[in-house]
Amino acid sequence: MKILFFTIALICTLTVSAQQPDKYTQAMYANMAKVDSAKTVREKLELSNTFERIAKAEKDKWQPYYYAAMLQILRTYEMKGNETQNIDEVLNKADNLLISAEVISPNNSEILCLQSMATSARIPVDYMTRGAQYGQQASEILKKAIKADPSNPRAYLLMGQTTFYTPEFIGGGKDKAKPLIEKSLELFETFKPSSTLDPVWGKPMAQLLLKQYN
Amino acid sequence: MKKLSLLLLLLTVQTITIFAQTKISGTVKNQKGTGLASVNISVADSYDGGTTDNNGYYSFNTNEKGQTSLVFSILGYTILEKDIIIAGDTLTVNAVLKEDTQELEAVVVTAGSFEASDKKRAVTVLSTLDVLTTGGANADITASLKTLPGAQQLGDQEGLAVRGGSTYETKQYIDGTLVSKPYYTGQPNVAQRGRFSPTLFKGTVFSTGGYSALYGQALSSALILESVDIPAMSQAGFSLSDVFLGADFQHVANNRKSSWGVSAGYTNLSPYFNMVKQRDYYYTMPEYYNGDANFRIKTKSGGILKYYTTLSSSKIGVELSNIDFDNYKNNMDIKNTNWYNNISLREYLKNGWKMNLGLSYSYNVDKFHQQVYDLNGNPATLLSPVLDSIYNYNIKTRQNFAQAKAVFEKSFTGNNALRFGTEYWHENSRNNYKLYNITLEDNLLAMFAETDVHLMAKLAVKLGARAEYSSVIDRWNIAPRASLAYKTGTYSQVSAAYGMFYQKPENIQLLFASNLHYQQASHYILNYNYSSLGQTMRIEGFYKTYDNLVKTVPNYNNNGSGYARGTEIYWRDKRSFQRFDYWVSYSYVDTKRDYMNYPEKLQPNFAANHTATLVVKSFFIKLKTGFNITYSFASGRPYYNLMKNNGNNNYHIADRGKTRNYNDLGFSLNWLVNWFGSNGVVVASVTNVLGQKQVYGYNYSANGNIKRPIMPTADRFFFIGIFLNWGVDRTQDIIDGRY
Repeated sequence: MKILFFTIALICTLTVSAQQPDKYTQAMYANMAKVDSAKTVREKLELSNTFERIAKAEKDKWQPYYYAAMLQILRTYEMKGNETQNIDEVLNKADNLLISAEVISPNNSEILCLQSMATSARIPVDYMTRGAQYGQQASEILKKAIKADPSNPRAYLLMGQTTFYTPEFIGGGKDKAKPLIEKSLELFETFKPSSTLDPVWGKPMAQLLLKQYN
Repeated sequence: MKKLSLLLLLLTVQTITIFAQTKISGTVKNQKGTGLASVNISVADSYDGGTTDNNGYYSFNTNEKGQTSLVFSILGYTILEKDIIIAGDTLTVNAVLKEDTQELEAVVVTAGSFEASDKKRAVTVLSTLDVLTTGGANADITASLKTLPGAQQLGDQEGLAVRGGSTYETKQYIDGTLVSKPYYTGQPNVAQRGRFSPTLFKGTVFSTGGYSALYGQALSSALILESVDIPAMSQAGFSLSDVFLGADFQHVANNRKSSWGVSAGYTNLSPYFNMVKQRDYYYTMPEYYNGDANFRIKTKSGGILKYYTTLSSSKIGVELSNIDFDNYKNNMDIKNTNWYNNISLREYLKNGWKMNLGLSYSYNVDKFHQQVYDLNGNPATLLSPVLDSIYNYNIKTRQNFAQAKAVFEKSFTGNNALRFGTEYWHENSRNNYKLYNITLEDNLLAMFAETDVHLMAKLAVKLGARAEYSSVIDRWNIAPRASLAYKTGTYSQVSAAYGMFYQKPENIQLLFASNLHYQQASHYILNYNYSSLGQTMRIEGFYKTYDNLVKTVPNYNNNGSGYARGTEIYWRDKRSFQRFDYWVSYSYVDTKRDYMNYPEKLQPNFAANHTATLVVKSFFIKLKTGFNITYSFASGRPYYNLMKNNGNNNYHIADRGKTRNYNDLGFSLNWLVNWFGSNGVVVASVTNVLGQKQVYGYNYSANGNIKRPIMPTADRFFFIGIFLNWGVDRTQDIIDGRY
């Protein structure tokens, strides 16, 4: 038994090392593991900058740009009080990173999802003036994301999330969001990223949202 | 497993010890010497690097060796690459980064204008939503612009009187072309609403002076409206209120490349006037019919072709008291038909060129018929032929107005741009008055050019000129325009503007005289602008001179002149108080002019020295209701009774004075509802909540003995309306993958 276990472990280790021997993949794994633990605005910035450095050194990989942009967007969620003044600036940065990613991988559903997030993240700066317009733009981009890959659960999740938090009186609401969230969970069951470096996040978020209906 | 981890750990430790690391550190500053935070520093072509802290300090370890370079990058600054040689334990590399003019939020020339659009980064002063939710403005663009500094609080005439200028001196443009009749035709001494709904527009620029060479024929101010592109989604709407009934439909193609829409409305004030007593008696209740249609098509280049047309007709019959004869009443019939068309094309050409083409055509018929009745209800003829011609008349004016405009724009790097173009107007107005039949025709050709030059990251200059030839004047004019802006801080800038402006005399004057020239004004403006997220402050000083104003005595000539000078303050704050959005405007103007039949330079009757407004808005999400309050104040306006001298054609001031101060508290609420599956809103509003007495001026009898105040037709206007909208929700289509 012990031998069997050891053998399996060894095979695993071997497969892992066979698949990702290169420096790029190792660096990506190491930093992807830090995404969840980077809590503060500062930590997120440092990690984003690290991904950006990887992206710049590699030149032809969209994933490091993707994570760099994602961290910039997540940063704005943590900004409070006077910091909100910088939201637009940070999102301009995120937009730039996403453009770089898009150039490498055009019509990529995952990148489009982030572009939509970067657009709706501008809304908290001025709900009254921006709400309708940016909300609209964000969902337009999500539609493109769905079109680019109808099996991407994150596109449906974001659509469901946006609808969930949009007040009923302007066309959103829990009831309208439910089928979208369900659809995303259904897709999470079967979703297989095409590479181990591709984004896989979102399932717990979808489950959490669905719990709110009980 | 434990062993394996240990082994891996050992390997890692070994790796570290094998490659001796170098610590690179330093400080990054901007050109002013302040430490720059968040700069990303990387060793070229490697993953190693760091991020500066709030003081601009960074440090990191690297395994790289030998000759390479260190790259410093941050948005808004030019990327800096420094050659380094990595050897030994430590290395200190300091850097100074230069601001990047192209990436920086570039300085924009703002003197004199209120940009009111929803553009991402423009200084949003007044959005469409603001127009819809300004207390007391009743969703009228003009009324809501009166809450901004520069505009007078006029209730007795439509339009915007800006900085000592008359309402004639402000012109409206939609997608580049002039609107010749932007307001409904109504009874005298009552301001009329604008014809265009604020929801038609995505952006509004209210320029209170010193505006671009692209616009002309307005001495004081330009209201530049930009229509919406493809709407968000297909929808149907229905509205019902105490004064009107309306329905609209908008269809957006599935690929969002085109859309079309229609709407129809009917307004009848009869039920309202029966409930709320009016000062005047209406024997024909005001009634308006209108319909409009539009289509919009996106072009391959990303440009757009837009067409909008609206047709409306109205009639009113009002009985007015006769100021000269107590036993007579004046019955006035007013009828109007207006057809407006606007077609515009925005196209992106090659090599950074952009083209804007605009065509507009409008046809307007105004009919005024006034007849004096005696107490028995019989039509009367007055014994004095002069008075009879004042009181009993029939005027019909038919106007054709067509315009074509082309603007070409080339963008260069660094936000520099060149714009030039031409426009042509044709105006034909036929006037019937009693036995007279006079036709006025004018062909106006204009050419203009303008350039934006960024001399430095913080200094921008806009230079322009406009030349016009009007056939009725038979002369050219050349108007130079210039403005510059200097960015004094991240959120603040100082701007200055100068411009010369020409405008034809009013049609009614051109009908009676053939020797008139252009009227002329020069503007000098100095402006300070501060705008950070959610807060905007603007302080502006101006000086204006008027020359060649039309005088009607002793005969028509261009010998009039005048000046206006003043200061304006605007402050808007959406940030300091949660859920509250408010703005304050204050304007001071000192102005005098000698024009029309004025015997000397006088402060005109449309200009108050002090004007102030406070607008407060708040939306309560739980109540789904927004509350909006507007308080407007204006100091008294002068009024004159100008009477003809005995023996010559000149006038003298027989009586003069100042009206009481103007005060108005307007209130509105908008309650969002979901009736019948719609996204709807119920709007309720009241003007002059406190019922303060408002006097706009005085009318005098022909002999000057009787003086009557000009007042609104009622103290308050109550509005309650329901607007329901059914958008075509396509969520299910998305889920099923059909879109």
